[in-house]
Amino acid sequence: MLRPQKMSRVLIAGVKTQLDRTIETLYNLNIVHIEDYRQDQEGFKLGKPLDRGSRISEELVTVRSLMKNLDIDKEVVKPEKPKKYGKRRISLEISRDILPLQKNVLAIVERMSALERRKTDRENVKQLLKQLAAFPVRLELYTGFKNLDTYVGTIKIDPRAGLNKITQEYELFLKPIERGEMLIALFAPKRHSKNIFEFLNSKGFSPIDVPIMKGTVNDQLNIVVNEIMDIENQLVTLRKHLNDYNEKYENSILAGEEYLANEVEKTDAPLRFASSKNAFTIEGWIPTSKLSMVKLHLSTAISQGLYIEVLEEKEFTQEEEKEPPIQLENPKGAKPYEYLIELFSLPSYKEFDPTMVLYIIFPLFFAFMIGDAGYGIALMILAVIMAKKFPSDEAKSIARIVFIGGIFSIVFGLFIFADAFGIPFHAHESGEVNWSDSLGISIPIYAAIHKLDPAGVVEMLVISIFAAFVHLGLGFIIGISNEIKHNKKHAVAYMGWFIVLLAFFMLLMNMGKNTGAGAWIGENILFNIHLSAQANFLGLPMDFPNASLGLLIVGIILLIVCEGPIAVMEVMGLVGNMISYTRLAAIGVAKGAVAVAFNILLLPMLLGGNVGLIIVGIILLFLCHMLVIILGALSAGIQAVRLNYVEFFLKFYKGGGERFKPFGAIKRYTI
Amino acid sequence: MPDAGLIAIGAALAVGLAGIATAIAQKDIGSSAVGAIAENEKLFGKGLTMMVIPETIVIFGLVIAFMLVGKI
Repeated sequence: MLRPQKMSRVLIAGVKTQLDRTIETLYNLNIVHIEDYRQDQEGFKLGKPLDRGSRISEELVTVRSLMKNLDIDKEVVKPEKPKKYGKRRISLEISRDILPLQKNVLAIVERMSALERRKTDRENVKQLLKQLAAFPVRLELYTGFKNLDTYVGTIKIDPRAGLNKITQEYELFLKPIERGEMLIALFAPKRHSKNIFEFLNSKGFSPIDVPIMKGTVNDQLNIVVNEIMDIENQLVTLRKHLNDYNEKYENSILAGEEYLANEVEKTDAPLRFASSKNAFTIEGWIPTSKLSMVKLHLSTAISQGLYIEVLEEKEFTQEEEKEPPIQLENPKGAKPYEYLIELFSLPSYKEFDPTMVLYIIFPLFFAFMIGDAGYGIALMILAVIMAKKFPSDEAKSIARIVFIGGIFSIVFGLFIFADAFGIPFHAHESGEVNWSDSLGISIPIYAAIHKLDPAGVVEMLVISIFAAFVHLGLGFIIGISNEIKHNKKHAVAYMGWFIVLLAFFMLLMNMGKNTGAGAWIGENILFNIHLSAQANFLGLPMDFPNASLGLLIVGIILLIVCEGPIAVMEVMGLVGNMISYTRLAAIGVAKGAVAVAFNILLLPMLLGGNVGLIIVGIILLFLCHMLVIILGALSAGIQAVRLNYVEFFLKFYKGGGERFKPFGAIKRYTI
Repeated sequence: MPDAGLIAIGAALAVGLAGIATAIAQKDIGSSAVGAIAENEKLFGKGLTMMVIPETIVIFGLVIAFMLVGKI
């Protein structure tokens, strides 16, 4: 919690005869992050893959091509749990069923592509015959004359006038087709062939190859159409065969692929080790807490010829050239938020892991923007549906985040805004539709803030600024504690930023002191400074403007000393950051306003008494509110993420950590 | 209040113009982000974050509008 998992750097050295078993043991442990050997030690080279590797690689290639032919995608995660295979079972099925299957499947695939080619060819012939159907000429009459030339093709103009100039002895069939072109079939004596050919070419003649067939065009057309239908039927049958194979073997093929891929990773592992003639060494990282467990496992599996040394236990403050990999360590509830951290960048080893801050802050921001009990319930239902429909880890994380956001939205909607689906529990203005009147019971909860009331909006703005102060202040405090052991000067600069933040916060709270939230913050958090105006400091009254001015000067001096005069330029940027949090209020109000607008438009339909209108009204209301919920959740989610990424993280977060990837299997289909 | 109309117009301008500015900024970022995501889907998170950065502009406008409307 708050820090990535502590890592230890280990060196495992052994004699070559133990290599296979060492790999097997480490792979099953799935806890060692191996550092690839970079050929930087004398006497050690990269290792060679294990001998059985080439055979397994070949099998893997076969299985993968089988997957491609059968259209099996391992990235597609199915909602139902797959059947799991044991090691012996799957290697048996690979040699007995899966590898022989490839022969059948390949035969089918080849047959199918031959049929597809034949089909394309027949389709072309069909098109040709359709065109020739316009002429009353039997197909065998197009070719095979001793003294006659045949010209079949398309031409841009009517050729008769030009032909008459060359000769009168010809027979021409002509049919206009699209774009002013026409199809012709011309029969003329061979002795004119040169002239006719030149003439036709000059008029844009493009010849068509008449298929060599006998009989009438229509008869042949029927034959071709029948043949195409026959090919299509054959293709359907073959496709059904492939589908049957897919259904029958999908699970075992996926398991086989996984098993072989894991085996290949094992046999290729020596490529990542340093190896000499008779020995090998593996360098890697192990979470410090798992160290003794790994040692125990290795020493029980391999009694002789293996040596394990812990090179160092990394402290969080050390600066070294080799950064340990990052494995975040958070309570189970906070796990989904690690996804948001990873989306940005993993923390570096010496930084705070901000997951816990996100865990607390994100639902609050999200719920403040949604702020509606009804929408909260709807979001929880949507999250459950999403988790069911999309079983991938990322989707599950997002669904959990939305679910928790929904719970908080209900709390905010009940106790602060007192509304559900844009309808308040009690009428704020007379005549307003409200739950208490509609249900006939008085709900004993009253709104603390009315979203659409100008005074309520100002309250929400003040609360947003307070959120900015807490969030940014937390960022600066984390910044101080990150830096305090590395660079005292940077730590002091963070202090300066915090003081500047406090100064601006006081100034803004002074503007909002007439609101309920502003007055509460002034009394309870800012120690009533505005009331202690009689207290003097160097002859000046300690009221808000003077106190914040003083803090501002102190803060800026600290910044100039620690970060140089250029830091002053960024002071206004901090004000921008603070104002940026007013998006919490802005989105809350905007979303509430859209919901109310839909209600004003559609609720009268329900109260009219016309059954048809009531049904239409209910459907429309449902659709409109779904729109508000989905768009609202999207924008609230994105903006809450953004406030963390842009305003909060940029204050202290460096990131750039490498993910801890243990050497071991991802096992979805195998045990 | 005689100036109410002018204040309302001022509030509308604050939101409207800031909205246009945001749109101009997001248009460029959005198209670049889609290009980047087309090359590497893992950039979706970062692209989305970049995309919403200019929204601060319109929120500034909205805050000013709230303050102006409060004066009517």
